[in-house]
Formats: sequence, structure tokens, C-alpha cells
Amino acid sequence: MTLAFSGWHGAAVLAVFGLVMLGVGLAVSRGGNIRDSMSEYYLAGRGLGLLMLFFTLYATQYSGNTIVGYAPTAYRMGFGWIRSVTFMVLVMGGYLLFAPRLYVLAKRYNFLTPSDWLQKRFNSRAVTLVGTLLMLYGLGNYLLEQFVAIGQGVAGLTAGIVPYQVGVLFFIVIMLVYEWLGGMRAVAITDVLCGVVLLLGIFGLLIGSIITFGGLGVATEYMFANAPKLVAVPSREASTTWLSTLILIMIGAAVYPQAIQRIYSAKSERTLKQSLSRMAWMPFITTGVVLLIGLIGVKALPGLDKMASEQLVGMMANAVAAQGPVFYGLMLLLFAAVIGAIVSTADSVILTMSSMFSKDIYARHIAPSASEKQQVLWGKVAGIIVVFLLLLIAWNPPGTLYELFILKFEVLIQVAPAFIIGLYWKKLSRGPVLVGMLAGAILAGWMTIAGIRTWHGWHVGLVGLALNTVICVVGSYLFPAAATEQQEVEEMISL
Amino acid sequence: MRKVKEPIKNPLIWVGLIVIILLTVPWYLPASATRPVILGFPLWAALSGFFTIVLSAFLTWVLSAQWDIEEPLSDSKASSRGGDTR
Repeated sequence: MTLAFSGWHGAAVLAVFGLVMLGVGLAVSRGGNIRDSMSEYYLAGRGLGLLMLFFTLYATQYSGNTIVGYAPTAYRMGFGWIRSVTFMVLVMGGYLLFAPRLYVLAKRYNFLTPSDWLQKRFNSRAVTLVGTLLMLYGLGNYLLEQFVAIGQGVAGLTAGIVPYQVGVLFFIVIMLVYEWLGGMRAVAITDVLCGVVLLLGIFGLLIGSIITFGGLGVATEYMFANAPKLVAVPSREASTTWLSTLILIMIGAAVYPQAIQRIYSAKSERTLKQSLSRMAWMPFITTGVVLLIGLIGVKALPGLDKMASEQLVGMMANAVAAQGPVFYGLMLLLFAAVIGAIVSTADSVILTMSSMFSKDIYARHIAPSASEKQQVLWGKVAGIIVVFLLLLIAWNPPGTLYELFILKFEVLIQVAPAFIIGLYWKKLSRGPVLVGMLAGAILAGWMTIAGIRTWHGWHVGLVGLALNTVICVVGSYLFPAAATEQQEVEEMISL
Repeated sequence: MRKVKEPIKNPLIWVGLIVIILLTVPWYLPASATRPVILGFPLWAALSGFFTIVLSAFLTWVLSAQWDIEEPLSDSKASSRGGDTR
């Protein structure tokens, strides 16, 4: 993603953008007891209104990869990548599986982390711990990916004037400062800023690309003549993988712990419903626009191989910026948008990991009698330690972005049966849930390590999830919980 | 008494959702379904895009009209049943 033209201008834009984020984050961090109470710090006092909730859902769900990774995928896959619009819409369908009831229960029982629900429902330290570790593992990978992307983005935008490591450190320090002081409030307000810049940036690139290279119609005719695979109807097996991607992301992205915490943070059911309804339309103006950019790129920059195509957005932006000062400015904004999108995803993940260390590890297993203030403090410290451990790994960035994106779901999605079925079915019992989670994670992990990405077209994460679900359901029939326990669960999950 | 509406309890919603999802994937189209090109999209991709719009509209409807659980003033209930989960 090298933007050869920008150099010092790029560095200046990023410095200003970073400092504005810091300022906005600090502005909402003053006063009150933000840092003394777990729900104030991690959930903004369960008081996020429509604007903040919508933008934090938006900026958290769409990361930098949505631009710099998805456009090259469209370039290589062609029109089949229209699924990136569908799966982002479908995440709202994923929320419908559990959010309505979980929101009510979270308010009733003061849930702070996703694991709080597992603990309440199954009353088993083993289930909660395994669920927590699976989520932390998936989140760790996800955060690592964001760090790698920040560094590449900064180095690319400034044409190497700001080295990769300095770029990463600059934004990580900014994130950690506003998070330390303002928690979820600071994260949500910076998400508003990043969300707006993201939308402006991708529309700038779309308009610039159409003016520079021509519209989609021209690109499509070019594909018919020169790259017919990109416009061909997908085969039956490709359609199976397409469907598998939809289901994987529908469930996987909805049960992201940071997404679940945003459900907990909503001020009211009305606010939550309104935010999610708006989110159902955002893919068209986000991943949809990125799809068009990637497809226009097929004619604009033909014949790039897989590695070269990863640089597609940077190459297109270079050409657009050469059109004149307005476009030059828009392209600087685009790269601020990419960095902002990564930061707004990473800060949410850090905050969620920190809350899980605080509540699910420290308060539950290490110091049950600690005060809330101490819990918040230890959560923050653990978050910072993890960030720097991941940074050590990020200095040696692995492979391409999309592969990493698929990898993290395989583990994370295994908490879904416990999470979702547990909300509605009183018979679901802790033993089978524990075995199911472990079996699903081990199967999906093993297949991934063995180099198997799909099985008859289905992603291995879903294969693991299917095994997991079967174990949960069949096991709960074979080894049901005691009648009194089922009665308690029924009361607990009632509306 | 106010009627509680929870989307997952309404099987018709799930039938509708599954049908729309299946229509967004072009498994049912012949290999010749590439022309005409509609707004720059080959026919099969245009259909997928169209059903994705239908999907958004459907989900928006479910979110706004089929989800109604929390009573407008539920704070007293929430605090009376509150408690830590540890």
C-alpha cells in the first residue's frame, strides 16, 4: 500500500488525525467515576445513545482490512465478492439469534463480559474458563492482524518516511492513553470520528477511480473480453463455499466479544434496534463501494498476481492523486480513513480483552475480593501487557490479510452454541457444552494446521461448529441436568 | 397486557431469512446467466445484489416490527432483580 506521492504530507495528516483522536477521547474522559466502576469504564455506564452506539458498531465491525484487503479480493475473485455486502448485512441476522434476549438478561444480571453470561447460565468454572480462553485467543489473533495493518498503512502512506514500527507505536500509544482515561466512552467517541472519515475516504476513492479509470460498465465489458472467469456464474462447489462464508461470518462476527459488549452498552432496546437497523444498510456504502473499486481495478491495472494485487488500493490511489490537488487531498483522507478504521477496531478489541482479563480472569480466579477500582486497574495493566506481547509478534508480519481474517473465526465461533442455544433451551447442560466447545475448536484448529481450508466446500470453522452443536444437543439429551437445575435455568432465561 | 415479540420465536421469520439467503447465492442459475449486464453487473451478480437489498429490507423490518421485549420503563425491574454473576 505504498503511496509514493505523499511522504511528509502523509505523515502530517496522520499526526494531526492521531492527535485529534487523542483530544476527542480525552474530552469525554473527564469527571465522574469513569475509572472506578466496571460498567462505567467498560460499558459507558450502559448509556450509549443512538449516534454513539451506531458509529461504534460501525467503526468496530469495519476494519482497515475492509478497504485494503477486500478490494484486492474483488480484483482476484470478480463479481463473486458481492458476497462481502451480503455477509455484512447478515451479521444483523446473526444478532437476531441472541441479542433481543441477551440484552434483557444483561441488564437484569449486570453482565459486563460475554463470559458473565456463560458463568450465569452454566455455573461452571470450566465452561467459563474455556469459553474465555477461546475468545481471548481469537481476539488476540484479530488484534495482531490490526497491528500489522496499522504499521503497513503508516509506512505505505508516508512512503517509508515514518518507519513501520514508529507508525504502530504512535497509534498504539494514542489508543492506550485515551482508553486508560476514558474506557468505552473514549472508544465510542473516537469511533464516531473514524466512522465518518472512513465513509468520506472510500467515497473519495470511488469517485476518483471512476473519473480516472472509467466506471463499472467499462470494466465489466473488459472482463467479458479478457478475464471471463471474473464474470462467470460460480460453480456449484463455489456456491457452497459462498454460502458457507455467509453463515460463518453471520454467526462469527455477531458473537465477537466486542460486538456483544456493545449490546450490553446500549442505553435502551429502542436504541439498539435502531442502531442495528441502520447497520443493515451500511454494507452497501462500505463493502459495496470497495467491491466496485476492486472491480474497476481489474481494467485499470490488469494482470497483477496475488502478491502485487495486495497493493491495489495504494496503486489506484497513486493514480487518482495525480489528477490534481483536490484528488490528492481526498487520497490523503482515504489513508487517514484506513488508519482510522484499523484504530477504531483495535481499540475496541483491546478494551474488550482488558475487560475479560479484569472480570473473567483476575476477579473470578485470582482476586475475588478485589474492589471494582482494583479490577479496572488490573484489567488495564493486563491489556497493555498483551498489546506489547502482540507487538513483538507483529514485528514479523505473517502472510496476507484475508487468510488471517478467516482463521480467527474458527476458534471464536465455537462459543456460539453455549451462547445462543443456552439462551432458549433449558436442557442444554454444562458437560456437553464443555466437550462440544473443545471438540469443535480442536477439530477446526487441527484441520487448519493440516492445511485444510474447506471440506466439500464448507469452511472448517463451520465443520467444527457442526460437531460442537451435535455434541451439545445429543449430549444434553443423554446426560440431562437435574430437574431442579433445569427449573432454575428456566426462571433465569425467562423474559 | 403488552405482547412481547421476540424474533427467534417466530418460525416464519427464519423461513423467510433462509429463503432470502439462498437466493443471494447464485447456485440456482445456469452458466449462461451472465447477460444482460444490469448497471454494470452481470445478470447473476445483479440478482445477488437485488436479493441482498431484499435481505436488508427484511432484517430492518424484523428489527423494527418483530422485536419488542423491554418495557419502556424497565429500570425498577432491572434493579430489583440485579446482582453480580460471580
